[in-house]
Amino acid sequence: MTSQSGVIALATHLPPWGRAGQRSCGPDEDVVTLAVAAGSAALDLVPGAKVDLVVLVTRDGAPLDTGVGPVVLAALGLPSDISLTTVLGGAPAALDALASARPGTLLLTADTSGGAASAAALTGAGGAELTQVSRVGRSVPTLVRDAAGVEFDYSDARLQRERGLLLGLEQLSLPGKPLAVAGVSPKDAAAVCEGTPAALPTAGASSALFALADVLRRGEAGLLVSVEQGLLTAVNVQLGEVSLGVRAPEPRALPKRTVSAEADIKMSLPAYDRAFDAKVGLKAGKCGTCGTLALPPRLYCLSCGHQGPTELIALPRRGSVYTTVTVHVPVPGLATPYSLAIVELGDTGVRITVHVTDAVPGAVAIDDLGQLVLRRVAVRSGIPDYGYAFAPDEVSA
Amino acid sequence: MKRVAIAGAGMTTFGEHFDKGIKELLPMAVSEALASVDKGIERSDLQAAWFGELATTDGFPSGVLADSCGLLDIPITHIENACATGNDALRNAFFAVSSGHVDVAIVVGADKVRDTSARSTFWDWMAMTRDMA
Repeated sequence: MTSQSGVIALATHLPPWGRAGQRSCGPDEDVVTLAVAAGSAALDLVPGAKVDLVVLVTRDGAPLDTGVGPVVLAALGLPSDISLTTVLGGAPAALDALASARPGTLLLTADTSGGAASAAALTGAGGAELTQVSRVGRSVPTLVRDAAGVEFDYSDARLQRERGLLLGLEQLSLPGKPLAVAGVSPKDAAAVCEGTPAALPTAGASSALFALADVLRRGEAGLLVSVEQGLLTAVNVQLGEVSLGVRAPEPRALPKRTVSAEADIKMSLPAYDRAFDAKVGLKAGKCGTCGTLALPPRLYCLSCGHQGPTELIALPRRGSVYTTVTVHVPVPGLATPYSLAIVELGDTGVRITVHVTDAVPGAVAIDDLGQLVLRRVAVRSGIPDYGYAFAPDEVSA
Repeated sequence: MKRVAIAGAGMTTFGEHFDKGIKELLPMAVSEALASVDKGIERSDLQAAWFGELATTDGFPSGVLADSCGLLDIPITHIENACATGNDALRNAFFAVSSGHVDVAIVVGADKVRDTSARSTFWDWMAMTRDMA
């Protein structure tokens, strides 16, 4: 990290499903939606922040293909010509990327397996500075994947602790005990740390940023270590002004839902391509003559009769439920029961019909407030189709 | 039976039109047809529409035509009759005008064939009308 530059914003995100120590993805979530959830939370912390590089680090790389970058950028409201790099790796890769990041970098980390979680960090002038201290690279391949992404777990926690974590820590030759260790179980981390580190919700790529958030919250400068198998990275954290964002809803069990029959609806890529900017960027078409907004955009304006291409305008993501219905009757290809809502977006007058997510079916009512969030709304011909769903605000008990 | 005249016509180019859906192609053709009437006509002068579309694209045909072209308050009838679809739509509009039931009707024909993979375009497009065995 270049001097005078550091982490200026850090956001962590947990899906509401699962249990306290181990969250799980909802059926409409994947690496992309989790990364976007954390990324947009980080960007919200520093309005107007300059971003000219996005790096996405994850171990769960199967869904990462060439089409993913534009989805992430569009959903984050970033220009489509920004460079987006995807890195297949865990906590050390994430920490390396952050410690070497130039200002204006948005680091996204997401984990779907072994504890679903995501986190994002934004670098800029000032902030908390990370400096690389030492690295260890030993081959301890306890978990590997074949070309098809199928996992092979050697499954020997004791070997991993002795020959990965403990030998690695010794070889790092640190000047003192680390404040936090990411990438290992909370128990293993606590055993080698100074003080009482927070139990991290995952051991994957995002655990590096959860650990950094813990160090910053504790307000102590010091060492932070990330581990994955035989790879270790140690950085020194200097405290600075960092906006912290935490989304950690109360965990609850994923509701039981059933799919009565699969529906083999084909993907239309021309239709996907035409809809993309408005659908994934959540933008309305603005009539060039009378200014009426239409979602999806339309060629012929119903308000004034003007016909022609429209300008795309970003819509607010906050909205209120205009009406809602819960479907219990089995629908091929959809898990029932599920709730739909027509959501009014800010004061634009624009309404969107979406699935309700992050809530049990039937949980929302008219006038409830919430947020439109990027979700994988369908998979057609094997191709993920991203769009928006309504996540109601957490109701405080 | 009253005599019936064709007072105007409009047409998009034929092509793959990857950048346009049926919701763009329809208003392009309809607006061009209205603009071609030599003494002029208002959209509100239209009293009924017949829409020939062989296979549905992007939703229920009559509603797609009504919404995309702003024909919200007139009856719209969807016609499907294989290769005779367009002729049949015109024939039904002719009956409506010649019988005196309406004075002005619009006939629209559209199909968006290239919205599925080139490998299986016609099979996908016609899947609903064929025996898949």
